[in-house]
Amino acid sequence: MFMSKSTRTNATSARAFAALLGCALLGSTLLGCGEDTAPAAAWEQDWQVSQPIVVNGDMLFVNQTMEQVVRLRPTRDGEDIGLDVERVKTGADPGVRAISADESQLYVINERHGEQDATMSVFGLDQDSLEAKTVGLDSAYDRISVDPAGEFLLLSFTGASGDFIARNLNELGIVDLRDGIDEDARADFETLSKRARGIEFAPPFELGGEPQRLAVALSPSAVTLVDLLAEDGPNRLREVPLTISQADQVKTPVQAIFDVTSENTSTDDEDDIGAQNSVSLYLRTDAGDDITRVTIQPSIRPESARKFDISVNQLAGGSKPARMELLDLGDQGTRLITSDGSQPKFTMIDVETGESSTFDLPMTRPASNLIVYKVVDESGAEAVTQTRVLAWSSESDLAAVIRPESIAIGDETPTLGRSVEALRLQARPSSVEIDETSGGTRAIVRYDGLGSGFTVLDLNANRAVPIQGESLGSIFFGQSFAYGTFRGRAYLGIFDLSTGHPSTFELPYEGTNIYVDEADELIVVQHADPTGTFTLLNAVNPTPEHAKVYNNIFLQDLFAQELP
Amino acid sequence: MNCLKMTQNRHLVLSGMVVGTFFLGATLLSTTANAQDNAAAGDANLSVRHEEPTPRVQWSDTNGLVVSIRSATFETPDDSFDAFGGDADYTGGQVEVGYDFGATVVPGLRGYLIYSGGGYATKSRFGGQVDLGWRRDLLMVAADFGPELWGFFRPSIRFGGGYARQTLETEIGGIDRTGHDHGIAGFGAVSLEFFTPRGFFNGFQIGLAVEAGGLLQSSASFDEMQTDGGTNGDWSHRQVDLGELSASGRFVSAGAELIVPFD
Repeated sequence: MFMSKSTRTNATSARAFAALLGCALLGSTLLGCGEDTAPAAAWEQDWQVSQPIVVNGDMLFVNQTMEQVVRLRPTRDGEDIGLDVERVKTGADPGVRAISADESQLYVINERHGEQDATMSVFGLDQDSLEAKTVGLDSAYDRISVDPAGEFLLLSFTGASGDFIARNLNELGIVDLRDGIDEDARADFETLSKRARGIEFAPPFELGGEPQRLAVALSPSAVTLVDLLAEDGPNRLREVPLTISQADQVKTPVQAIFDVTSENTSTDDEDDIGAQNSVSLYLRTDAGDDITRVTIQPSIRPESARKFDISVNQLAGGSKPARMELLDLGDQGTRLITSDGSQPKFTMIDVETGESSTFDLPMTRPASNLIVYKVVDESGAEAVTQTRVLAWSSESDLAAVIRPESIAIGDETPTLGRSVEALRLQARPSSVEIDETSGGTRAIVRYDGLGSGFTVLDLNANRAVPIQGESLGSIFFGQSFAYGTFRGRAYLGIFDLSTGHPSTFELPYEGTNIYVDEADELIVVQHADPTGTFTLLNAVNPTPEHAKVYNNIFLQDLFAQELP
Repeated sequence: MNCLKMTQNRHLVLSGMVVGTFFLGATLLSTTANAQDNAAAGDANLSVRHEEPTPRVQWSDTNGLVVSIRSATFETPDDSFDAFGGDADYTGGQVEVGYDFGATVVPGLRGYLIYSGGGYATKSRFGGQVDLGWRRDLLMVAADFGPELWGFFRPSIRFGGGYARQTLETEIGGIDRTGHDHGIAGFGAVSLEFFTPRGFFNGFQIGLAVEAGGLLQSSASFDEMQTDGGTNGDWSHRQVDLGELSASGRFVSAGAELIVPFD
């Protein structure tokens, strides 16, 4: 049988069709040979998000798992409540973090586990969008010391264990922030002879007619003065021993206070060149009864390569001083006040003469803390600002208010009720803090576990307002009200700080942290969910109808993110 | 994890290679057979008569019903699917009902209604903080076109499209939530069918079918997740938007089919 023409045409078409299909199939098969990539390791890691850092009504979190900083910004337009979420990558393995003194920057050290070097991310917080700049580091430091003047950062090691190859615990990283941070910014580092246990900055001052910046690193039996403006090695670090011999008992400085006040930098005696233009550093150590004064003044020898001459002397600080504070008493000059560590007494020291006197405190236990604050005395014809010192101890339900201006050093023990006044608290306090939102006229006394509530101290009137709150969890103090959450109960409490009157409101879940954005009149309650669940409430009318609950906000856009 | 992903992909590649090998073999057989046909035709012109050759290529010109049950493996190459584990593809079930329009429309043309469903089982992420599961259901219409070779083999190309629903299930902090996204999907594929010759069984044919192709799908976003177990009082909740999933990718399927021709 002959094959017809149409059959042959069909056969040719089929071959062409089949070849086309074959090529397509082969192509798709070969495409399957592409290389796979493993999912990011972060998917398998534990979820770790830091406690919040509250700055200007925004909340900042460091998400260590995702290696990012998250900023939550409550917004309000009339009755419409919102919560903006912003994320910025840090470097690898974000570790220790700190906020600048003016709260305009967030610093995060990125450790890069298992690596020698590290980076520091600097986030500008006063901009509309969150952006990070990077500073190169030679080591993964785990402590950031923030300059109150915002010009420098000092980075050091706590000595804690970590994931590192090798490190020099005596290293001190120095970051100069004065000219901002450019693309190639890198921290300098110096090596101390001993690891810094603590670092204290001196405020900017002038000495010898030149602007100066100093810091001090506290080490066992020595301190190191760090001249932040010095270019040369000999002046950059100046170690000051606190013992004559290293065989002596170790004296570790635990508190340092710089005194750069004008009274200290001049003298009436023009012939006394050594006393002119000096600043002082007062050191309290963990051993002994004395306060160490380090006097720093410009070198009087023109041939000296040293910028400063340094001298050390001792001031009688009572008995085993547990705390010291510097008091600027105006016409009366500058004094140091220390609290004894072994008995309820305090010591006033005239730093000009070195003379000191010790007085009793109306407390049952030694005062472990001193808080200096100012009050305005309006009883006379003119309002007068006066200095007060609140002495308290976590072991005593009695606190004391000291009026240092009424105490004459060398006099007998001042009469109670005039120079020193007792203040009975609800219980032994766990903390006492000046409430800055009140302008320093109020202190908040908290108790262990907060189960007993808290006490508001009116510092002007020396009056205590006890507020009881069962199982109070977290608390935030506003100008007129305190806002609290309760453990085990889905409620928030609003406390009138002038009367102590509480009001309670319902929450969708138990709250763990509470903040108030006073500009937008919003209460922000963070719940226990580690993935970030927040309730935003109208602060004036905090009811469910005027609230919004944001669930799992840290997982926002999870699928779109590039995980580390 | 990576090994698992590689194994899965190797499965996909092997499936493709099997299909390709079959197809290339069939193509070569077809070419040889047709060459023989042509030679036979030439010989016939020289008036040397051979045995009657069987027609090798046919275009179906009868109506019929086609039912197919398949296993389908879909690639999800987008990184967003790392959320559901290390696998780069999932295998689901697929049911197809087709109609051969050979007698009524165009010889060799079939139309299909296809359901395909499957996804990734719930996977625990971030140390158990988050559990995530995903599945996709496709309901599509498709048409394929292809010849029948030697009465038992049918290569074809197929195109289709339709409705796609993606479901995301989460369990975060002990609270279950479910979200659905409704979208569209379209695909193009090459298929190979091997079936019993007509008459082998009385009134029907059975066969095997394999297919490889690509699927395009609209991205899914899950910004309206619903809490399982009701609402939380009078509170207004804003559930988290986890972002978009892009589920486009290649696929292969294989399965059995039943053909009932309406002669």
